Amino acid sequence: MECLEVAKTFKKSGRLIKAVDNVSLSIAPGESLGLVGGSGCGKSTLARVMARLTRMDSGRVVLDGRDISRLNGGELRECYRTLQMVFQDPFASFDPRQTIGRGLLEVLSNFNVGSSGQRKDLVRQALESVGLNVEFGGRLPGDLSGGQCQRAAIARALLVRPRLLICDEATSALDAIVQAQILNLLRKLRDEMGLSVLFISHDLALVRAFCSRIAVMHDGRIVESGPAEKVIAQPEHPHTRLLLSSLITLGESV
Amino acid sequence: MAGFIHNRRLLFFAALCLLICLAALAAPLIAPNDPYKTSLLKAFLPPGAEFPLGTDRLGRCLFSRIIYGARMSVFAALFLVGVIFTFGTAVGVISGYVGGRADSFIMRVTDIFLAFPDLVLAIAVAGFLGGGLTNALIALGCVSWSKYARLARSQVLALKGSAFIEAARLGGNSPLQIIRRHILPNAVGPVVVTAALDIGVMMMGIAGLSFLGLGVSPPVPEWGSMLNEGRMYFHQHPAQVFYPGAAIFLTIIVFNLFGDSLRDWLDPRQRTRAVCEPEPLAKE
Repeated sequence: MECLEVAKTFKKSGRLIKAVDNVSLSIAPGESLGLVGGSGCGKSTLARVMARLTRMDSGRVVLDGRDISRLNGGELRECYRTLQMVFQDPFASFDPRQTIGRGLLEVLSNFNVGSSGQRKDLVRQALESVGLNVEFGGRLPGDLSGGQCQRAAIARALLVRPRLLICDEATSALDAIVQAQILNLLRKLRDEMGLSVLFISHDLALVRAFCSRIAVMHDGRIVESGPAEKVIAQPEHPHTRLLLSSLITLGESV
Repeated sequence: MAGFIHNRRLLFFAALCLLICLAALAAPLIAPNDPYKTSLLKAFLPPGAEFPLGTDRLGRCLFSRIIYGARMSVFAALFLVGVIFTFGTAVGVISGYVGGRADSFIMRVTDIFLAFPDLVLAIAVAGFLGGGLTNALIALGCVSWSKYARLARSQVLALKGSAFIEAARLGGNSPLQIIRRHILPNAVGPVVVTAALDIGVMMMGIAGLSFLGLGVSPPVPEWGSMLNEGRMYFHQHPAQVFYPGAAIFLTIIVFNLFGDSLRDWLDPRQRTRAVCEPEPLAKE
């Protein structure tokens, strides 16, 4: 997956805001790329552009050598066999009136995965693979905890066996313990399925624990990128240093 | 749906509404006399064995005419609300989902309709088209669909940006499937409540237009036109006005209270409360 020279500008009270300013990045098969940056730096917008949820002003998004930035309708839906996304707010990403199981079944039938008889089994397997009991399939999202709901969202995203998963702050709405559980789950599934992951977060520590490569974003631009160890050990850009120095460790007084 | 059974107030008013509808349907069985049979010798009779509520100026049975009149009021209002609900919601959902210029255009049209006082515009339209129930319904429909379009649109706009709609897109749903599976079920609640509350308003509208001679034409029994016929004899025979008036009053009250209970039951805050509550850690 590559995105090349992507730009996106928003208009806010007459002022133009460059949310994404000619950003290019690529993710190799099986690679986990961490995209870090403060709030409003454009990382979520970039993710949404890459998933074709937001229109871009200019640039291209290439998936498996295919330019998907102009696809529409059925062709775009086919892309979502390869590319899936997990959102920040697990509750908001499920239809409040639809049971988890029906939401998952819907994805399978939309993509014609399996026969109608097999689909229930596939949903059960998917729920089990994220550590959820089958009975969760019959529940409404509001009846789940945040962590359970995010597990279900991961199960839904991985139903079609995509090769790229975009996690847009997928753990930031969860408390520390659940966050670690979800991160371990993602790591396990990534290694099992050979997934590429674009892991977006504002938390450098989290990204370091999960990703082999890090890109730091600031004011709509990628200011630094490289292997995770190198970016953390020898930060080049002042903003990366700022992010690093802002990490609070135990025993330190702020 | 389980909550419906346990909500006694809603159940009570739903039953009363059903009772009124059944009475209207079974009018030929309930009414003791032919509502059209005139007999000048029996004009303005007091209530008695033959005529439970007495007779009108042409000697027709008041009770039978009120029962038959329920057909006009109730079914015409239900039909009208059904049509404007469907039409207005469809327009609003399309407008909200498509957005852009189509949305602006549709909303300016609804603005025009909303700018007029309802009944005045209805009278103008009915006056232009001429009398008759069909024209009265067209007139009332013209002035009231825009409210539904507005409401449905605002619901769709609130839902459109939410993550679950984007998740549905990633889940391979086409725009039509998204509307049908995810937007409509979540948007329709407040619109249904408005529709339920509107049944009474429409009844009043139909009765009002008929009272003014723009609705149902005589001799068809209809509460509004009965009220108008009785108006001239109000001083000598107040019952002529009282019974049709009471019928309008009670029916509208029942349907409005039904709509009210429905709204309380469907209150979106009750629905989403579970989502907003902080989740206990132990559950995970």
